[in-house]
Amino acid sequence: MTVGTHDLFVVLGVIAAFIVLWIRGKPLRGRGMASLVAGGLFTGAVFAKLGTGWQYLARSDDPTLLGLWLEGGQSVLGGLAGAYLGVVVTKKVIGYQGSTGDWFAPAVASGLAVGRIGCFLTEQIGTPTALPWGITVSPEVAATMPYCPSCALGVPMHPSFLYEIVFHVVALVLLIRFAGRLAVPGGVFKLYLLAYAVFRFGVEYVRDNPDLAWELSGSQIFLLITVPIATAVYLWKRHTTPPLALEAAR
Amino acid sequence: MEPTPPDLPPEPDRKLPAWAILLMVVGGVIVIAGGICVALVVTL
Repeated sequence: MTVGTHDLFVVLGVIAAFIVLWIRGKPLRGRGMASLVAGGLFTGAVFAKLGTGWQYLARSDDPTLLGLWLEGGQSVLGGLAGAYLGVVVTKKVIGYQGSTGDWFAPAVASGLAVGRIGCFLTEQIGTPTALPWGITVSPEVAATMPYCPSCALGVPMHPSFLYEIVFHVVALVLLIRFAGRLAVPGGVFKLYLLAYAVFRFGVEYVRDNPDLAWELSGSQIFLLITVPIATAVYLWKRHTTPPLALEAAR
Repeated sequence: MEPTPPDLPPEPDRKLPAWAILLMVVGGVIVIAGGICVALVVTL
C-alpha cells in the first residue's frame, strides 16, 4: 500500500460526502450550498493537514514543505474542526442565518466511513488482542506500515479503523432515520459530533497511537480540551439566543 | 415580499463568486490529496 491509496480514499470520502449532501440537502441547493461546501472543504483540508503535520516535523531530520504535503498525513479531528469552522465563517461572510448542521451530518458520516477505508489499508491496525476478530498482517504488509508497532509482532490486532467505519455507518443510518426529529436546529449534527468524540476517545485505547502525555494520545488530549469548550459555547449560545431567533432558525 | 415556505432554508444575503468557490474546492483537494496530485502530474 502506498500514500496514494490513503489519498484515494480521502478523495472518495469527499465525493461520497458531497453526493449524500446533494441528495439529503436538496432544500439547500441554490441557497448557499456551494459556498458552504467550498468554505468547509478548504478549511477542513488545511486543518486536517495541520493536525498531523507536527508529527512529520517532529520525526523528520530534514523536513520540507513537499515532505509535509506528501507525508504529513491528515487528521480527521483536525479536518472536522476545520470544516466546522469553515462553514461557520462562510455563513458569516454570505450572511446565512439558518442552521445547516443537520444536512451536513449524514454527509460527514458517509465521508468518514469511506475515508477510513484508506486508513485501514495503510495505517497502524491497532493494539494486540485475543478477541476472535483480531487481524494479523503478513511481514510483507507490515514492512509497508512504518508506524505500526504491533504489525511486526505478527499477533492479532484490534481492527480499530473497522470499528470506526461501523460507527459511522450506524450513525449514518440513525442520522437519516432521525433527521429533523430534534427540536433544536442543528442538534442532530452536534449530537453526532459529541457521540463521535466519546467513541473516538475510547477507540484510541485500541488504536496503537503513541502517548503524547499523561498516558493519553494527542487525539485524546485534543478531545479533552475541545469537547468541554464546544459544549460550553453551545450551552451559552442556547442560553443567550432569544427564543424567537431559535424559532426562526427551525 | 413572498414568505419563504417553512420547509425551505433561508436565502443567504449574498453568494461567493464562482471563481472563489472553485479555488477553494480545488485548493482543498490539492492540500489533502498530495499523493494523487503528484501521481497525476507524473502521469500527464
